[in-house]
Amino acid sequence: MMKQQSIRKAPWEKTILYTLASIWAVICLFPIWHLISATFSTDASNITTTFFPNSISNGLDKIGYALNAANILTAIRDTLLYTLVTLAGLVCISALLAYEFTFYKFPGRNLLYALLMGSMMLPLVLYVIPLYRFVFQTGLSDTLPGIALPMMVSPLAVFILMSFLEDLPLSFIESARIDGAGHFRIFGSIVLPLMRNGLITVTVIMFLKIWGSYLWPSLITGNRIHPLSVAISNMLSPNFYVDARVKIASMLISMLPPALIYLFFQRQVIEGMTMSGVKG
Amino acid sequence: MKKYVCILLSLLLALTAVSALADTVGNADGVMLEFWVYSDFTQDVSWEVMKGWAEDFIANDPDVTGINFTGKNDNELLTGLMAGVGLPNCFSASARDLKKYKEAINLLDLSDIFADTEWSSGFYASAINAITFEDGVYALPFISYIPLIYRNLDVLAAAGIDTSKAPATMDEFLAQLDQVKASGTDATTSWSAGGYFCPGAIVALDADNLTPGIENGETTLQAEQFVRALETVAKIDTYANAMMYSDAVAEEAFKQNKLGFILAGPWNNPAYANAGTNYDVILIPPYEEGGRTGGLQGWDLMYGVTTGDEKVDAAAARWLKYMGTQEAEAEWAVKLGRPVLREDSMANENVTSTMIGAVSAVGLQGGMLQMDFGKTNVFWMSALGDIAPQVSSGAMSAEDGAEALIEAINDMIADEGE
Amino acid sequence: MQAKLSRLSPGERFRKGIRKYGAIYVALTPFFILFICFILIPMIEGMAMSFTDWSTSSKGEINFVGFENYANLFSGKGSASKRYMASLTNLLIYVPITVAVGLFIALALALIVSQFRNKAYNFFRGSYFFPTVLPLFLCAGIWQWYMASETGLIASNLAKIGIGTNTIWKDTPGYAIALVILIDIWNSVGLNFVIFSTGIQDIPRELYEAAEIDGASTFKKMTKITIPLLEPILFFVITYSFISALQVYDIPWILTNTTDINAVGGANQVMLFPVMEMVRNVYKGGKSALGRAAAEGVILMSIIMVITLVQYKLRRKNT
Repeated sequence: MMKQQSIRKAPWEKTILYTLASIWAVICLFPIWHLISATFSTDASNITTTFFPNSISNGLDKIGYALNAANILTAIRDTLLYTLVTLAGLVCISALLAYEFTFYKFPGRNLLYALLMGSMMLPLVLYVIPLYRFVFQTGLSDTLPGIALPMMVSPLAVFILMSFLEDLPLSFIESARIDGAGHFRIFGSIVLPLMRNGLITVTVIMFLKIWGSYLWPSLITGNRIHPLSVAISNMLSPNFYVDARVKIASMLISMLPPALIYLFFQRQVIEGMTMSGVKG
Repeated sequence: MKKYVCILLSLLLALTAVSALADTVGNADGVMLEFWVYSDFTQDVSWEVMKGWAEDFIANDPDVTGINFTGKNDNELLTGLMAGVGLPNCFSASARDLKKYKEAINLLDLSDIFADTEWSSGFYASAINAITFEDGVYALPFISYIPLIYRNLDVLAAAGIDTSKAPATMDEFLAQLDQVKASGTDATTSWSAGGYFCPGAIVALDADNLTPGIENGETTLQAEQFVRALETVAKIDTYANAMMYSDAVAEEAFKQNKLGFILAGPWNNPAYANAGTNYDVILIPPYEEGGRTGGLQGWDLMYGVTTGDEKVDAAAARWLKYMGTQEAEAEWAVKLGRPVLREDSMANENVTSTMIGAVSAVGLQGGMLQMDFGKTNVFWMSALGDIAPQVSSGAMSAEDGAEALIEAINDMIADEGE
Repeated sequence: MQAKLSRLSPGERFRKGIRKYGAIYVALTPFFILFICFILIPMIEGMAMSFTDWSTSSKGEINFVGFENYANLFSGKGSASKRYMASLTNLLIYVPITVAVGLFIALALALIVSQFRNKAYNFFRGSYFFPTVLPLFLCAGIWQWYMASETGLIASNLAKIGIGTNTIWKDTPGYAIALVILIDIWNSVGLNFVIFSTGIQDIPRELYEAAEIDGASTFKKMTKITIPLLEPILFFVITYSFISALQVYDIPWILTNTTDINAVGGANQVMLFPVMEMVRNVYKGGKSALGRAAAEGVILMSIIMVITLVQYKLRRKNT
């Protein structure tokens, strides 16, 4: 994706540029290293100035404590479960919607589209209480569908998918039509495969979003489902005692899934985000 | 691909249906109690204690077959309550919201269990007073806390302070702060920053002069009642560093002998104990020797919720009564080092033999209540968190601060329409 | 098509419409059922509630009060109104600074890094983007630790060079907002950087070559070619940066949340923003509190809409 351009520069110019760029890279990455160092250090060392791990065993103890005694393991399992269920539903319905909105004109399209885009800029807090009442009354609170269904509706996902589809020439669809392919057949055999990058992007971006969501999971869950964000923020509450290294170990653990996703899908995340950006 | 989409969608619907069904199928015979607790109650020592109680209670109770503990903090709890749906059978929550809960939901009337005077006479009178309404008794007094001054004995000794006894007066305390600061170590954290907690502890020393109450939509407190307290906070702050009492770094500094005094709640005790710090706790020193002290009392109560099913309601009441026994509350106080709202438990020698228990038992006698629990929704101490920093920083004189405080309290009352 | 359809009877027209659009509507159904249930209806209910005295103690009894909640909010009387005004003032300071500084850093980094070779470019892009993938509650947790006064790693070193000496950042006017801006920028620069640098890659190489032949300096090339050609992207980034900055919530909430709900936003509301004040009202309950929270939400929504519209209008004028 990057056009190679070898700009010749004086060495001093190069040094300055690399230094500037590196400063920000250090700012971005150092905290992660620091969290690791702080976790894997002895209780006696000052947690804010421990820049190198000095006790692997103590770190493992803290991580073990966080996972088991502080219930982080259960929280990770539950969070992973509802995140995946949400994603499955979200991707299906958003892809269909993006397909219809991009390629077809039908009565009510503009109204629906305006509704969709308008709701993108609304904070959840505005309607969270009526939403909670509604979900509760349907008997779904503290269940997987109860937490997942409301998070499946994402105008943002539709928006991103649509910007991927805009690049597809209409002639694809038209020629398939002439060949006699049905509405959903076109979607399944032509559009969906071409949307592959878009789907991956949406999955990844939405994974990060759902993984980090706090307000909704904290409201709707109870004793059956334990969201990670709730577990962590409860731990950060100043009113009861949790060992500082256990706190940091918990943060480290909850950082892991997003970090891994990013590591493996870096190209898609970045490609997709820029694409939706340019199309805006 | 279309097939997969369909399969996925139908799977989803099936999932929805199954879990919806699962909800309606409950066990018909025994009573399952849903119990919302602070999330820390479901961890560590507190969880062991709670679990032990629950097992013991279930084994001896005719109806209850299980108790579901769900960790919720105050805010999550309030939102759940506000939506008015999905309430538990019992929950633990701050006493500050007692009036709000009473108005918002059908709290369980505990008059019957409180009629057993042998059991109910053990609670502090002020606690009984707060939970008693014209039409019933609506909560179980459980935890209380007062602010404690933690003293790092190594730091104090290095500054040449005699640590064998606590400073008898505020002036003596200020002198010690000066001594620690002069020795080159930070004396204490800011007492004006981080909310009402620290300045409130000083205001509580004047409890005998304060006239809290609401008349005609205005507070009956007078500005001049706060001048001395605001001045004292500002004086303490001249020896303070730029940390907040609640910062994790302040805790860290204290552990590593870089801080002489820190005001904190009893919940901070395990942090210092585990780190092996050489420390003890004292009460806020009174203005005159032997004067009123104890700081500000905060309470956490246990509440029951009326379900309409008499069998369930009675079971919930029995569970609350179990947790409110002298033995249970004493066990809590000993194992967690947190004071409780039963006077007889606090007098229990297992409790008074612990450091926190001994100091707290004395402090609870003189400690002023954070607010008129159960009678008002206005937590007026909040306003102190805004005013005290301005007086300490010199942006306002203590007199002006006191005036501004009264105005802020009146604003809060106006919002509640009381 | 329109004319053809109109010659049919209403029933026939309906059937024809079904045949033509049926599949489309079927495809839309799952999304819009969820949308209506979980966004639209609750939202309308929420807006309607802004005209009522809905509160925790209503026990189902809710009265219509017209614009009273709105009037009270702007009356300047009572602590709720004063707090809301303070939150709007903070927002007025916070939004332009965080958007401008954040975009400046992202753009500067994009201009620098786009000159590097592939490997270096990929490395820097990968590192800059990392904070963006972290949940906000983690970002706040990490920086709370760094910016704690005196011993916090960053705060203590800043204090040594005279920035914020003897200051509790999250409790001091000015510093508190700066702290939120700092965390927000740390989190969001990566995303904007990537969008900008892709835009820079897409600029045709020939333009630069032509400029080089004319003897243009690096700086001149930047101001005359790169930045003007980035304009559409810049517009997009500014718009969504504004929208997200106006809704700032997680970071300041986690930084100032204590057991006293009134302390949210710090002493004297130095770190209070509208969404936080809204949530405070929801949690606090009390007289008309939920109605008031709903009104605050509607006001914020209107502000967001107006700003977005203005930006679209400006853009149209420019192109």
